[in-house]
Amino acid sequence: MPAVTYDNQASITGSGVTSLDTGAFTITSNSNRAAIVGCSADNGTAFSYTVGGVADNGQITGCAAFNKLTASVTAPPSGSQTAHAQWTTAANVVLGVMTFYNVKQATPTNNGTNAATVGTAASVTITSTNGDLTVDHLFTSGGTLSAPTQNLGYNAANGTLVAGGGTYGPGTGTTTHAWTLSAGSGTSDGVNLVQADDLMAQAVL
Amino acid sequence: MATTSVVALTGSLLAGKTNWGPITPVVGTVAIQIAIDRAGLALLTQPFTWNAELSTDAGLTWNSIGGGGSVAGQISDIHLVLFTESSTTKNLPTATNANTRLRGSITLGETVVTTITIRQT
Repeated sequence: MPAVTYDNQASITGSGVTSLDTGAFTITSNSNRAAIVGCSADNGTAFSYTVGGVADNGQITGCAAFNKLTASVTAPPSGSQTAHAQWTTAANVVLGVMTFYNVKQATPTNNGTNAATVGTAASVTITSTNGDLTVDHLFTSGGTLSAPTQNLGYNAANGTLVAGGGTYGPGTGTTTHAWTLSAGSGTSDGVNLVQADDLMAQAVL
Repeated sequence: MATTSVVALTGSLLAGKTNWGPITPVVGTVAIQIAIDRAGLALLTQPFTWNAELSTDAGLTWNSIGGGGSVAGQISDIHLVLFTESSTTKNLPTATNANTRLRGSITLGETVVTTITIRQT
């Protein structure tokens, strides 16, 4: 069965806003598509997301609990799409989305976790299985992000008010996603994207 | 790179969709901010949205670069400082050139006196 594979990304920042829409980006027509969406905001607000019009699956268990900052979207449509996030209280916000394929549709994510930044270092370690893909979304207020140690999806900042970054790494057991903050503080959400079942192999068995 | 500002729309905008542009961004621009002045929104009640599109072929084809939405009235940040404007900022994948064009729209639920400023960095 093919491994979970990164497809595309988009991001945008806003100030004094209650919703954001990314620009158009292409989701390829590969099977078993999924998206990971994250928001960084400087107030406590509850987000809801859509990608290509498909609503999110709710907060990922284990990710930062005080906000629904990171969520998955299963089976977004292919083609030119946008991601949308909305909330109730105006804030300074960064919205980022990464899309993937070969993701198990029934349970697209597991092993959600989060870790607070220590000084200017942000790091989260995600447990995975070969064929999976690990993803992080780092949100911070009061600084910008640099030096990601995994493959960059997006890195967007609203001045030095808030910043958000997303990377993806190999599913090789345990994968650490680290960044450097210029200042401020934040939290890294980490999640494992689960490889789709091998239906052909199951049929043979 | 210094920031260059262009006023895309100003004055009394009616309820519904109002388009602006197209404008030609300064060559070498890598980030576009769309800013809506909130001074005239203080006593209003209806939410509003905006978006922008970019062309890299002098206006033949257009692609969304995103947008945002906000509420009317007076709104403040976590430090209780009033937001004087609402804005979205998009980092461009490549710097603009002479064939780049930018256009957009704002959709209002009521008549609003405001200014939309395009900041190019």
